[in-house]
Amino acid sequence: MGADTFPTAFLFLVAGCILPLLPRGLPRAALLIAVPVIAAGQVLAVPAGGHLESELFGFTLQLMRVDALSRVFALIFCIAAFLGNLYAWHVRDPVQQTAALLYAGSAIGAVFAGDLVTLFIYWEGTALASVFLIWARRTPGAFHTGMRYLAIQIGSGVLLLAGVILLHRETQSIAFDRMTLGSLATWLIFIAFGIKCAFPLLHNWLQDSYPAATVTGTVILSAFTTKLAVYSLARGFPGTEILIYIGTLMTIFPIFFAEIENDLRRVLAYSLNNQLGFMVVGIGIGTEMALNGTVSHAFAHILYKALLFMSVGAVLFRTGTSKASELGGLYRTMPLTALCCVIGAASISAFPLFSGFVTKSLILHEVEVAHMTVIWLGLVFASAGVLSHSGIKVPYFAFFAHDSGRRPAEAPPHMLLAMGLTAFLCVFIGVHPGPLYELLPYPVHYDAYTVPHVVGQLELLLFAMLAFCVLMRTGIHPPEVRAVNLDFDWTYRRFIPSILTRVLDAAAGASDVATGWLRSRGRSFADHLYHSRGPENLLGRSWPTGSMALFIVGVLVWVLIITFLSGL
Amino acid sequence: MKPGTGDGVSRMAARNGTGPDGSSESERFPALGRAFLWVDRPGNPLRIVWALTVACGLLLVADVFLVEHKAGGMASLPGFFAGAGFVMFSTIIIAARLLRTGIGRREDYYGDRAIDRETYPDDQLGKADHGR
Repeated sequence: MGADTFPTAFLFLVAGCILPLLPRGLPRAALLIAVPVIAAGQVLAVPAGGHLESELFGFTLQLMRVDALSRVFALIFCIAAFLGNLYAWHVRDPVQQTAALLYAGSAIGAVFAGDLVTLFIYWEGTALASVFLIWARRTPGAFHTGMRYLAIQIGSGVLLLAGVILLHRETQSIAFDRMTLGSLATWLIFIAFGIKCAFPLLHNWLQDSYPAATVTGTVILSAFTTKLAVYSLARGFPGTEILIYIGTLMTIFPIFFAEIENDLRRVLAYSLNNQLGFMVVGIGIGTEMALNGTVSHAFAHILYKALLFMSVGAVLFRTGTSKASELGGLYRTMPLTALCCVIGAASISAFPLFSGFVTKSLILHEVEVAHMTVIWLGLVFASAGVLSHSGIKVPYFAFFAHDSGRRPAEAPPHMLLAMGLTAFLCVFIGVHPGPLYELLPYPVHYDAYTVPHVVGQLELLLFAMLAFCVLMRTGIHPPEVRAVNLDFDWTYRRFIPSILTRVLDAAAGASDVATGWLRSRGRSFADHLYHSRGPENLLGRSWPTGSMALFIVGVLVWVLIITFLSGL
Repeated sequence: MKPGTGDGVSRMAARNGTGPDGSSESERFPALGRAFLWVDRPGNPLRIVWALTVACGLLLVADVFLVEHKAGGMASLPGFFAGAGFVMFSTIIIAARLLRTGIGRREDYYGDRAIDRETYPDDQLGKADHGR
């Protein structure tokens, strides 16, 4: 059977169905890491072009549209699935194991979808599978968080479906190709993508749900949903100008929230949002180099973000908390985890020799070339922000800073292996970006390692670190405290429910008044009937038989008189 | 996975600077952990700050004398990224601190519909202390 005769997604979906039938332990864990390896081989082997068409309700669905854009995303999804499942080697929960396979499979299926109906099916598949990685925590908070997550993700799918239906009415086509914003159909599809991509004000599902997932679930969650949205935008809306402004906002606003957030997994979720912004800007610019920048940054980002979530997850796994206020000084007994975290931090901060440096700069370079000075300044500002929360805050407050007195054991070997491989890839891409550049959709004519670029980037980062030292030593840097911070989710978690409660209370009060009035009116009517027609009334009274006979005699006499008089 | 407390005896021992057997606690750390202890030795945090300051100074010199500054945008100004890094980072931290006063709430603000006041289920963790 050729590589192009079986959809890559089906490997994961079939494995997800088989997994519960296997004995617990090694067979299941082995299946979890074998499937992504086989899938990656297929992704690399399958020739470019459209494969595997299928008929459904009169539509021709294309299950495998293979080109450079879909191939690179599918490949990194396979790598992420492998690393995430290796990290989760100890997990024996079949719910999480099955969800991880179905989730990765759905994401890969969506990436290879050649039409919007297939995209929709897999789009909803990612939502349904991934929520179990949150629910698997099995706490009331995780359950409610999962419900919010599911409602928003399914809502995104409903918008996508509505857009697809309208688009089909307009164009008689369901092909998933480049679209132009303008009609209601394209706007609905754009917003559906925007929800999954965590556009500003549509973003809070990300910071709400990722910290609520299991230790390993968060690592897996971090790879797929948002990057599927990035792929979809890159496929459907490259060169859409509004994305430049949306992306810039996305890079900037999360950094303030991340800076004061106490839960380090939520810090990383804000940081993820910030990194998506860079990718969205690249899509908005839409040139070949900018799209290369977006794709390469998504590739590198999946790895370093997974690495950061893995290291904080290892801390949570060993100590039971990921709150910065409860941590500190863990480098003493978790030095390898600390080292991996620092590598992830250096990669996301775009230090030279680390992956972020050779990918993010493609986007910034294109912004600069396009003379978008304000946008460029915004992205430089956001780059300093990345250093503040992901580059410094996460490793510093978890592993260094004050000594919390905790002496947890080092992460288990399989976690260290997963982190080590991911860290290696982060460094390898940074040192040797050629192989990644080869995978990109367009030829790359860019050298990240020029003297001005290296010196400029080091200046930005080292002077920012110097500012951190000054702010820490002067006590201006905010301390880590146990608290939550309000974000836009406050509107649907507190404000709208409180408004609805008030409206319902007011409606209930009005209903009580109306019911009382009706009841009193009814009672008075009933009283009236009772008094006029009831047993106390003249006609309703019980009369003695003699009285009735006398009454009838009187009536007859009266009739007799009238008859007599009428005869005169 | 071996169960453990993640705190308790080890935290007390850490504060006392000794292990359960009375040995110096740091001797029981992994080799890499012992190497990292250098950052916490008295005087070293300040030395790190000074080293960073020197590195920044050298970068600034390199920027002025080694980098070819073509006429053009802000990026070509000598020392632009140095100033931007320091000022932008400080702005972010100060703004974030101000933001906290407006949006910070107690951990139980969202009640039991959030994970913030929950403890992570122990049966899903692999809590273990170092050396145990």
